[in-house]
Amino acid sequence: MAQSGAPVGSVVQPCPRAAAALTVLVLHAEDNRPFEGIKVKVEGPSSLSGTTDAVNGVTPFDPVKPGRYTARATLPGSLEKDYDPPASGEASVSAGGHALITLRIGKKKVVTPAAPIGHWIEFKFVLPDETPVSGLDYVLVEPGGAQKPGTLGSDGKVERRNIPAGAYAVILKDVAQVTWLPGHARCDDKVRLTAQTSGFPSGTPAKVNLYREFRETAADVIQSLPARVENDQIIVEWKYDYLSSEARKNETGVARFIAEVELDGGKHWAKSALALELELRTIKTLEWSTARIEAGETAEIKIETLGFPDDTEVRLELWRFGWNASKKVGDFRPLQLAGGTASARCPYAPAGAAELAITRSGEYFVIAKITGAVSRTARSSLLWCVYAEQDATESRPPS
Amino acid sequence: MPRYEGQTGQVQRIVLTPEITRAYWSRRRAWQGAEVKLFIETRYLKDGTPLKIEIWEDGTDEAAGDELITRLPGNHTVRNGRCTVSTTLRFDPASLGRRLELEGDTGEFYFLVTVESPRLKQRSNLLYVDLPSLVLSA
Repeated sequence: MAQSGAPVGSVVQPCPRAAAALTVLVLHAEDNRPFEGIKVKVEGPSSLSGTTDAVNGVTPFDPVKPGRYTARATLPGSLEKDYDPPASGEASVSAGGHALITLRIGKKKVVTPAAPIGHWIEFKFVLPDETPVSGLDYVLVEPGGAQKPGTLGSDGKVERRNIPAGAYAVILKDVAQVTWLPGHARCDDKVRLTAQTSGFPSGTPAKVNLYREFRETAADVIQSLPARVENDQIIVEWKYDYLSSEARKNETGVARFIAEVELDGGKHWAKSALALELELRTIKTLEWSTARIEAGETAEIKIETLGFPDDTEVRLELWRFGWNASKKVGDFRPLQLAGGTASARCPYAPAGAAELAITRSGEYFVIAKITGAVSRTARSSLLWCVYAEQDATESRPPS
Repeated sequence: MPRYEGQTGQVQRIVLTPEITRAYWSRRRAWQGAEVKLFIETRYLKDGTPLKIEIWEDGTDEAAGDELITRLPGNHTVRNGRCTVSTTLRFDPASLGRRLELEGDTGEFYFLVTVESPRLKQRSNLLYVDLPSLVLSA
């Protein structure tokens, strides 16, 4: 058998015999294995065709007329993409002789393009204990400004090979620093919520969910606000609708609200680290400056409120306490809140005074009323006005 | 915000600091026997990170040390930065096998969340639990 290095179409000299015969042998060029199933056509004094067998890869043509022959092999269509086109071979066969034409068919050489020589970069995200960080979405910013999104795999790496040289950046898609401004407000104030974002282009829609602090399941959302990313920021303004229900109208004290900012349908989220403290309309205290006064002295009644704007009118009524029935003495001049507080002076003047005054000994209290969309009423503690000699209408109270 | 720059030919190693950002009860006050939820919120902890949750009685009022009440059974893991666990408050002697040393009939409880790796710990706010069972008169 011819060696693989032999020229294609090598010719073996015919051996003498009585009848002329021609054999075409087809081999794999790489290892000289017989190549079966190849159609072979010989042309010369006789034109014949056949197919190589499975055992030896030969096609015998016997008998043939003496003369010079050219043998050609034809690949089946299924092999054309993998093998080079077969070359032809020639041989002369004389009368009574036998000639062998060997054809070798070689595989196409796979030309692997040389790897371009380029640059590389690697970002590796780990936790302090060296555990790779996985599952975080990021954007890779190329030197030209193009942005390619991706997600950190289990190795925590953002790795690029054969890239142009330059400065690259990885921006983690994130939302953080959700902050109320101010952190403490009155219920009529419009408050602002800001959040910092990264990796989201301007215009990306977001959602702000508002909760009462510690009641923060999906079912507890009290309001959702649409929002948008603008220059890596989300800003929304909000005013609590404390008039929307009787329950809200009746609520007093300080309400605490948590904001949750969501992007990508909740995949990225962050909550305000601190709750917004919102003063609801409340009369916090209504107190006398002293528990006891004597004739000629003056007590001060002071009201402290939450949630009411400045200049809110407060009406104060002075009442004389009675075990069976208390009796209204009169009205103070209306007051205006300033900084949530207001106060009025009340003299104990048995002889009378130009303004509202206590003229008889006894115990007195004040009722404060603030009316409007939300009305509030409160009653003060008691002020004891000690018996005075001038007070002829009263008997001396027990000591 | 998290933007990390690098030049070609360099490896940039970025260490992110994971956190348990919040741990809180769904209520501020509850009766013994009530079901409450425990909320845990985290940052930079991957899905599936296991959490260990313990309920403790705050001993500040009794001028005593805090007392471990129970370790919540089950597998509690982080999912999209959160974990929510429901539990029924059973702090009576029959359930605990011992009597709690309390100042009065109200106990103040917090829960402690621990992550083994990376090592993190966070304490919740206080839950006030009224321990006497409701007694209904006939």
